[in-house]
Amino acid sequence: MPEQVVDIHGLVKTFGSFRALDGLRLGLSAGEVRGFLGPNGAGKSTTIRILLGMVRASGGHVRLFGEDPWRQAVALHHRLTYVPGDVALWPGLTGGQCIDVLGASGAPLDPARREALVERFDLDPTKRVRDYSKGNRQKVALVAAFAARADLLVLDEPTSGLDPLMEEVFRECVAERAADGATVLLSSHILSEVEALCSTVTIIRRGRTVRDGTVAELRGLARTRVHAVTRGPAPDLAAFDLHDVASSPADSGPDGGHDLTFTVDPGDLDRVLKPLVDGGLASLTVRPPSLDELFLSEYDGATA
Amino acid sequence: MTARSPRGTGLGAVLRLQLRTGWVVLLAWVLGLVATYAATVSAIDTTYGTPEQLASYQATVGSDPTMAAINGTPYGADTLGGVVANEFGFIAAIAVPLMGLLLVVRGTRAAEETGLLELLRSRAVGSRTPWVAALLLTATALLLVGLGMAAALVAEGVATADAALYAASVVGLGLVFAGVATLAGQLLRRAAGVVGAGVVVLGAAYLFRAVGDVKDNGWRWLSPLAWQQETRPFAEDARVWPLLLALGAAAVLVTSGLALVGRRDLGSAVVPSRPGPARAGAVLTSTLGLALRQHGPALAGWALGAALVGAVFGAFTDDVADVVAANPDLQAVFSAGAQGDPTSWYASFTLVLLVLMALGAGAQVVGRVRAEETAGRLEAALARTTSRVRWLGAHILVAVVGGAVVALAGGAALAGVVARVTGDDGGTLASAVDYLPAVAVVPAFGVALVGLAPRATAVQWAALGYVAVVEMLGETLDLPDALLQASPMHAIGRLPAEPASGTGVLVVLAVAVALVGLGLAGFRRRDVPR
Repeated sequence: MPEQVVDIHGLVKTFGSFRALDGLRLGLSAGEVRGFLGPNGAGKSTTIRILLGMVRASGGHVRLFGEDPWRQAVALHHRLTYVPGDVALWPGLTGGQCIDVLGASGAPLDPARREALVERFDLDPTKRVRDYSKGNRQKVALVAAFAARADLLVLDEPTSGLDPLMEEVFRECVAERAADGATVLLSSHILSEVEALCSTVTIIRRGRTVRDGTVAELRGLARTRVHAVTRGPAPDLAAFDLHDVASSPADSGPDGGHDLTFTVDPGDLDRVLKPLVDGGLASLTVRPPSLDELFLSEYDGATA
Repeated sequence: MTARSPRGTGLGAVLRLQLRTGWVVLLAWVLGLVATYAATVSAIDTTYGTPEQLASYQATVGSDPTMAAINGTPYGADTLGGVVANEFGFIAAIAVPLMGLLLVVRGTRAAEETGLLELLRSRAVGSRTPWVAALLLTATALLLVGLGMAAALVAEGVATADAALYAASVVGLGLVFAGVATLAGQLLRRAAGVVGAGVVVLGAAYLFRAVGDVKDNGWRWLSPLAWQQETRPFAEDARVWPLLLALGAAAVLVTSGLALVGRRDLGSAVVPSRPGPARAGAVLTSTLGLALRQHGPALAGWALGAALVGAVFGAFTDDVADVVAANPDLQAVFSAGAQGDPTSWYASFTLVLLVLMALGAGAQVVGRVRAEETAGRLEAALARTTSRVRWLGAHILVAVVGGAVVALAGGAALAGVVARVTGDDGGTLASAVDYLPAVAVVPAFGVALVGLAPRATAVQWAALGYVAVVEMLGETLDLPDALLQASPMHAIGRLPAEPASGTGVLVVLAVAVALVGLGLAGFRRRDVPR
């Protein structure tokens, strides 16, 4: 059984009378790449700060590599590396100096990897931090994080400000580190990024975990969207459990025709096609289950 | 059609914004200065209530060259206003320029550095508007200070015209430094750099004024502080024209600054930044090394300034001795023994200056430590394997040792020059060493705030102001002993004129250690960032 890297349950954090975290649950086993999602203000960054021992939990159970992150912060940080969403660096230093400063304590930098990453992220290490754009400051932290020989990467919206090319490099780097066996906690709002990189996902809202599982499981919860235009009259689909149904007459055939959209459980797709074909199918678009819609409904609280 | 409507630069909106975000600071400056001034006026009116008492003041304190060096030439020291102007001279010479400087930087370069102006400028706000708004607010605050001072004088019976000229000269001094901030704000990119440049100008102004006043020569005309002083509002020969020098200089500085705003990009400066090394050396990659790198340049600047002040003021020792020797009234005061001999009386004032500089240096370091947290860099440090105690400990070490270096640099320069002039250093270097526990107290207080009440870290500057008021005005204000003893310098004693109090040194040291301990304990327990 793989080591439990992060083990959080019943986590509570209050700021005065405000309950930022309210019974949150989050787990990561070694080698796992987990997406950590939730709307703004859901408590993602607070959770990460508790995990890093910067903020003390008000209640609940928190273990990082089996230890208390508040008491053992320094010892634990030898094994992890962290990239915040808004990287703050020392304005008078150069980017290269900052990478070395960030790598000077904690998980050691791999010199060869450092060089390669500076190249891959197209970073000018002689430029002063105050002259960097937001994206370039982000790259400095990413180079330092990916060059570190760390067991755990904690990434809090790490690609904010990166261009699509650099985002691609970021994805490759996460995949490489994961292939090396590193554990990754990726907090992100970019759903395609999470879908591409993560095997498991935790979704939180208002300080609570509302969904937790593998991406495949979640995809099972998502529904296939179908858009069909028939030449004949409206097909009879009453036998199926369809959602989000919209139906309108169309002039696609001599008898008028019909325009129909709905979502259906992926398991029912083959059976639902038959009445459509019988109704004289003029065009058919089937969109596979997307996590976007699931995420959005979770963010909304619609399915909670 | 045209993008510029009559109100197109958004001045009103920016004024309201700066007032809403800065009214506490503005009010604190105005009330703090006026209250201290009014207390001084009332205390002096009590102590020197009769013409005879005023005449004796002029014959003794008013002729004391120590006072000329520290507070400026005391014109009209046989009048209430003149005595107040002299006694309040040091506080006014430091506080009023800083007020002009800091208030302008706050709403402009500081806001530009944090990216605040970018959002503002994306609205219908012109490039000069934030600067004009900050200057208007600063000028208004200075005017309120002037009105308050004049009112305090008039209330005690000083002629309105004299009080008005004094107030106008103080406002003029503040405006010159508001102008310095406006110009430096275009040349330098970081708010801290702008303030630093302003402080350097202030230090130079103070030295030129002191040289001019002690040697009675033309050097003083290089100093905005002399433009204020030389209006001589309470003397027979009061005049308005030095005020015009101040207003003219302020106008030139502001105009050239505003002209440059329109020529540069937002967030840029006339002095460009250069590329640097691609790798960090061994020093930077240690916690202490990084702290040194962050605070070192400013500390070196303070140390250099303290050494300059020590050397220049040390060089006056001879002049002081000569003047006292030629003045029977003064000799009588000194032979009465209350203040020791004239040279050590003089040296003790110089040491106060040096310790205040060291306290300023230490407090500045602690202020920047807090800024590490608000800027988000503390999180980056703590996410690594740097422990909280080690991180804060490294910065405390730099603050305390840095403050000590500033005090010792000034003390050594003073001692060296005094020894050259008089044959021995008169105990000045030993006194600087004895004051070191006091040098640690204000930064230690700041550290306690960082640990326990981080959002109130700026209150440490009030502690520094308190020490300055007690040391420069405490006896004039006739403060109760308990309040005097609350200043760590006072607890140690007036060195080298009197011997250092052993108990005082130990108590001050214990307080400093306790404050640091409290700060570290609080810092270990609290959430970051807060």
